[in-house]
Amino acid sequence: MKKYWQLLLIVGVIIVMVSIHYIQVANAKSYHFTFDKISGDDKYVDSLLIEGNLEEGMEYSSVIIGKDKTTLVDNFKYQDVPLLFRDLIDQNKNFMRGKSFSASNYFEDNTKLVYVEEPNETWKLNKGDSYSYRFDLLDKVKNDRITFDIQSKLNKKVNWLTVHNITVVNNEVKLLVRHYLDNGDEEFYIVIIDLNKQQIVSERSIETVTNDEPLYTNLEIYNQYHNLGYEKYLIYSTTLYNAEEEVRNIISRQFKVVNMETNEVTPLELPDGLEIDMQSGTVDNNYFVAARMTDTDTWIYRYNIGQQRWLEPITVPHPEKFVNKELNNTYGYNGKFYVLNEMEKDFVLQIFDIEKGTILYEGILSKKDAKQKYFIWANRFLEQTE
Amino acid sequence: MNEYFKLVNFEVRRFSKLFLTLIVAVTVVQIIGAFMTSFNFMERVETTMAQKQLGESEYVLEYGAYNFQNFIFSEYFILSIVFAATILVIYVFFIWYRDWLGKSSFIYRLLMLPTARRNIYFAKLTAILLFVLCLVGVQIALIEVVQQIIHGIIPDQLRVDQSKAYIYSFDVLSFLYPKTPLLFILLYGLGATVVAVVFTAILFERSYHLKGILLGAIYIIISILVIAIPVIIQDITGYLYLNEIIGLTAVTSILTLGVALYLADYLLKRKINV
Repeated sequence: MKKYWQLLLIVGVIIVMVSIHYIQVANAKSYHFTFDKISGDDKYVDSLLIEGNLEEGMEYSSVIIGKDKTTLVDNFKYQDVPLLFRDLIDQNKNFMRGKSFSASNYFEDNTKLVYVEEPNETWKLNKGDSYSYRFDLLDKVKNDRITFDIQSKLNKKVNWLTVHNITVVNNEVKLLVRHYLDNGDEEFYIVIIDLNKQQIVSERSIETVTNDEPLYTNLEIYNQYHNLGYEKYLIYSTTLYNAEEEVRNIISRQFKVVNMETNEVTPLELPDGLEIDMQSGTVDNNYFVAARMTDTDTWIYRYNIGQQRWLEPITVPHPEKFVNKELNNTYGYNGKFYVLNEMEKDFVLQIFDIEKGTILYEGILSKKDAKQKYFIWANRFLEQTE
Repeated sequence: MNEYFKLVNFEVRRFSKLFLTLIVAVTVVQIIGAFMTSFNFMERVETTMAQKQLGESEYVLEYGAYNFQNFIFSEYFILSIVFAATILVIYVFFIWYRDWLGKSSFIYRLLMLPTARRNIYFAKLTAILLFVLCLVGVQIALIEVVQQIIHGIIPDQLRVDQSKAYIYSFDVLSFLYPKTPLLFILLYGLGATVVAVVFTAILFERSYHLKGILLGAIYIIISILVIAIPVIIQDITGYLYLNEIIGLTAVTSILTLGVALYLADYLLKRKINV
């Protein structure tokens, strides 16, 4: 045995050091967050999961924060797959093969999963050439899958195009498509496809913006990116900026509502003097909700899209000193509006009932054993049963 | 089995002095690197704070704190890793050619040992794997030492402490230390396969001389293509999931390793004459 000491030493170093390494790394991955109620009902956070990113001392991690457990997302099986698509992959493994991870290209309800692939490399097409959308449809009831191509009849020179939303109404697929033209102009089109006949019904332009040197117009959509289900209303804004100035000054902004059932586009008027943080604007079912933070309060503004009227704003005073001056995280989901903001010491979570205009829960979200300043970016709020 | 262990021990002992020198060199360079990057940082901090009348917290806010990447991306760390890797790659060839081209053609004595010839091949392969893994293990200890040095020089306020999981998710460390033990085994298993392929190519050259160089080269290319089949399929079709690519690469690697071992056994038995 004595003459093997070099070999044994090497083997010993390998086993001990590699084991220590993986034990240390496993221990370093445990995060613990607590929800401390200020007001409201704890049941609203019992099943809540916050999917987001955590920054702590130049260290970035993807986490799912829950009341009982925080999970670090680094399972190699799913590396580079956004969380939203993990369940879709688990449930529809073959269907999901080779598909992009862009939520805007998917529609899902209880009976079907639809995926649309935009035409590739449209900038190579000449004027008059046509392009096609590829549809992949999974009938969940019959477990049947159909793939078909739909050729656009526009024959229009498009630099590139993206699908911003897909919904299915009465067996018609409706796409909100954005065209980027050679001259810098942009267009929104509603493209309707009959699923039974697998043919195009219509392609209608609903918005065109021109981008000149001094002026720039931005098209922005307020529907939740993560929502794969049916949405009756889409809301978008066109914002005109002065492109020549360093700080982008807004010259004008218009909001519009697209009714995906009737295909009508109507303006959404903001009351005079209403200031909202546009990043917080979100569509949840029949409501458009947006927030604004002042030094002392959180303001929530609600617009009933069907009734075309603004409701009384909700005002809640901050439980701690508000230092950030900007809204961090807002999310509309399942009739609730979530606001998660950095305050002087902690993060404050507020959950509002959109329809009733009441606050359901307010509490402190804090990371235990945090040695350094940390920051949370919430991408999605969801309930554990899903 | 006993003969195999004796041969592994023999190969380890033959390289032990050079290997120890390599470990010492890597250790010294990285410790110097820890001191240099820390002192350079502190010098920069003190100069800037004096020139611009800044406090520590203001400095950190404006210029950033010291973090472990300052060391990881330094020439001291990168060069030490490249140096160690280069020595081991050279040794993959040297471990065979030394026996043939040395003063007394030691390979003939090895081949005449009363044991299966493939044991010589396995022993050399095991020795290379042990050297690589030992260096990987020593590097874990070195990172601890380097962190202690950095902690000793840079005060808490000017330093960002990162978790082990995060440190090892960076750059070359994420490659050397995959996230899970299973991936670790797969990665170093793949490495062992590549070394086995190179060993077999060397035996082609030893068996067929000039023609053998061409055969060896063709064999290496085919082997790499076989190992990379899942990645090639993914590149063309985008059809596979990551866990499937990893699983299939494990399968193609095992297949390639099996072929390498079979060919090596055949060449050692039938083509290499004493």
